[in-house]
Amino acid sequence: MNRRQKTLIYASFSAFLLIAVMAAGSFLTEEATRVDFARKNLLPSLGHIYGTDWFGRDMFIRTVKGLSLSIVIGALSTIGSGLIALMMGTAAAIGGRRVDACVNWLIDVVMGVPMLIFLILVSFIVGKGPQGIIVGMILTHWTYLARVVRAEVLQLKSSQYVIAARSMGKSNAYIALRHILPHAYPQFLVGLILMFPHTILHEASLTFLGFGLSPHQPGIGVILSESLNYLSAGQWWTALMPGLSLLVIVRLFDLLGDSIQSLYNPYKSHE
Amino acid sequence: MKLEANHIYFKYGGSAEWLLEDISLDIRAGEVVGLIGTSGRGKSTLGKILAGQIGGYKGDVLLGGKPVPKGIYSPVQLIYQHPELAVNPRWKLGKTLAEAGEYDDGLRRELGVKTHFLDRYPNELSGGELQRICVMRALRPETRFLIADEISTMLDVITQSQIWHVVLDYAKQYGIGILAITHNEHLAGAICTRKVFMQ
Amino acid sequence: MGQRIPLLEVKDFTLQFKQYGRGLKQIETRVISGFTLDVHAGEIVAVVGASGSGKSLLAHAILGILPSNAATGGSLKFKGEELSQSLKERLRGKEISLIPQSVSYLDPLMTTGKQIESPLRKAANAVKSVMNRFQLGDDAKNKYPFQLSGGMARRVLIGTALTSGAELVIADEPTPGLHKSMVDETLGSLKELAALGRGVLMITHDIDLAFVVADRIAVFNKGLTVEVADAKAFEASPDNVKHPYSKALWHALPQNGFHSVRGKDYGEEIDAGCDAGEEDDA
Repeated sequence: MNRRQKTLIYASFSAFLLIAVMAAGSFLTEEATRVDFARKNLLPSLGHIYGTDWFGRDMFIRTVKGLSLSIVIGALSTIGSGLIALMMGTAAAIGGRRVDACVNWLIDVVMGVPMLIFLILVSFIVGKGPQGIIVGMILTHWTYLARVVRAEVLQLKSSQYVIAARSMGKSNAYIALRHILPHAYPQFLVGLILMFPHTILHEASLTFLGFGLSPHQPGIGVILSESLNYLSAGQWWTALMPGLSLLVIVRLFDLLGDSIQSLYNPYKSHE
Repeated sequence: MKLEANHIYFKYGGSAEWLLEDISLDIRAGEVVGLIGTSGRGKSTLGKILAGQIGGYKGDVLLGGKPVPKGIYSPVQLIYQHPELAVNPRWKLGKTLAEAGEYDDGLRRELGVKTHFLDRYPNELSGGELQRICVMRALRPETRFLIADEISTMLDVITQSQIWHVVLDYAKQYGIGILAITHNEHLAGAICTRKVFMQ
Repeated sequence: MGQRIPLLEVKDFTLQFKQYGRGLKQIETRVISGFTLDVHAGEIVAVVGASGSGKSLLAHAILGILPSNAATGGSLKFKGEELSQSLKERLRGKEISLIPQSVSYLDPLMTTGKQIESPLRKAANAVKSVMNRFQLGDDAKNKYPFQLSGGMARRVLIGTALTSGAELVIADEPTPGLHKSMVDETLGSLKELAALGRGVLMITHDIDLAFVVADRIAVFNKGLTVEVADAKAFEASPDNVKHPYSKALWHALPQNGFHSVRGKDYGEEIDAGCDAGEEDDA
């Protein structure tokens, strides 16, 4: 089996797992996490692989629901930031010197403010809950990708084959659509996938700090911050298992992004 | 018809010195002007200015007394030294060639561009094969002037000779003027009707 | 030349790449097939071929710096000893040194003086003499590569190879972007190296350059050595070379009439010539 096949199998496996978690979470009803004091504080076992919490709720189901919500929020924020990055990056690259300076200044400003503080501010203004997190995340996470898009478009714009196309009388729209877009989109896609784990982690930490999702929502950050209260009572599993699951999901996205990138990297793509 | 550059001044952003300082040059229809000199003297830059590919210079470039038209297939075409950079690496060469419009099959045969080349990607062909395609897309009835920037420098001498013979014949047939940028004085001696030296 | 062991001996060398075709299929592309050449101490051998014909890869193979998807066959010997990867790594920069094609081979974090010094720890004098010879002023000594002009950077590369004391110097397109005087200077240095008993393998697309400095010329095309000819004799007349492709090369030179047949695929001549003449196991 060659490396490209391995990467592909690998990528489809992680994509499948992520979609499965997301789907499972949205199909689970309230019923699945109902309170049952008869089975509270159980250690992980075959019946409850992540154990149960102080209300007797199954931690595995709670974790899946939490992760599912995280993935949905992550996806929405990523798509939103991706769109901003695309617009900003392209504008900087083709809009002339002044637009470029403007966009770069904006990027520096956003990058200069510590991300969590920025997120907390936004969630104060917009209101707590998912919409606050998503708006905050969209406003903060586009910068890196905008730089990637800008660099890519700038480089393509000055490439000889684009200049040659121009001297054949081709329009800007033609060049953007035929030459620049097909080249830039793999980079963009990888950037998007790599942005995903960031948004998930930031959502979790924001919620953990009490600025994100409300305690009634099944967020992974909610679970983690609640669990901390019980950690001193010796209930290690209610924090450890969801925490590990979050880590696994984040790593999956990371690896998915890396493997796709290696397929497109001209120096490594033929290994 | 004449392609002329009048009193061109140019420097790249950030540079203090002029790369081109008060340079004037003209090429008449049917003429093959050799622009000769070692690298780093701004020959390529002058070529790009003549072809309308660089802005931000002082002085003017005129085609038949008027500015070179834009937005149509440019009557001033430039062929580069490195053909592998001048074609979209993700396109089959047939598509690259079609970008310039329909082509003349006789010219294809004369240039030694085999039909199966057109079904290949650029990294599957040699530099010489790619350059033949780049030359082909610049030799069109709309072309009035051709800027050939070291187009055969990286090629073997047989390919160099083959390509130049076709280019010269085509230019003669359609009255195209050529600016041949080269450091090779033997080559200039073999193809040029007039030589200009950039010291 | 049977009695002396050549410095470098390349025999039936092949090189292929594994590459991905459409989708998941991996295909092998053969870049070099049946390359045979030897370089003796005290001579300059030029490998002349078009750009993109894979000749630089020969240098990379000798130095053991091929990318990981490359596979080689045939034999490469240095002073009669088969070049294994570990031997290549031991010899690289000491016994065998490279004047690379691109100035990006310089260490961006080292000053010029250090670059030239690096292969040879002791020689302050050597550094000075090389710097003088290549018109690199004293101030250049303390500059980093990004502060040098393209031409200066090239001179540093050549200087570095010269101080290394290597017995075999491989020069990969050593002169692009240099002034005429610097080209002469560089070629002079290569000649000097040969006169000192070193072997020089020059890889170039420029046959005129090969005529100027080389003792022998290996005509390279379509992945194989079409013919190895004496440089002076080749320059003087096409009658001194055997292969029709070499003859065609001579006639195509602008100073020799600029002759070629339009639309003809000279590659076919190589295929035909090889079937008839040389032993080719491919």
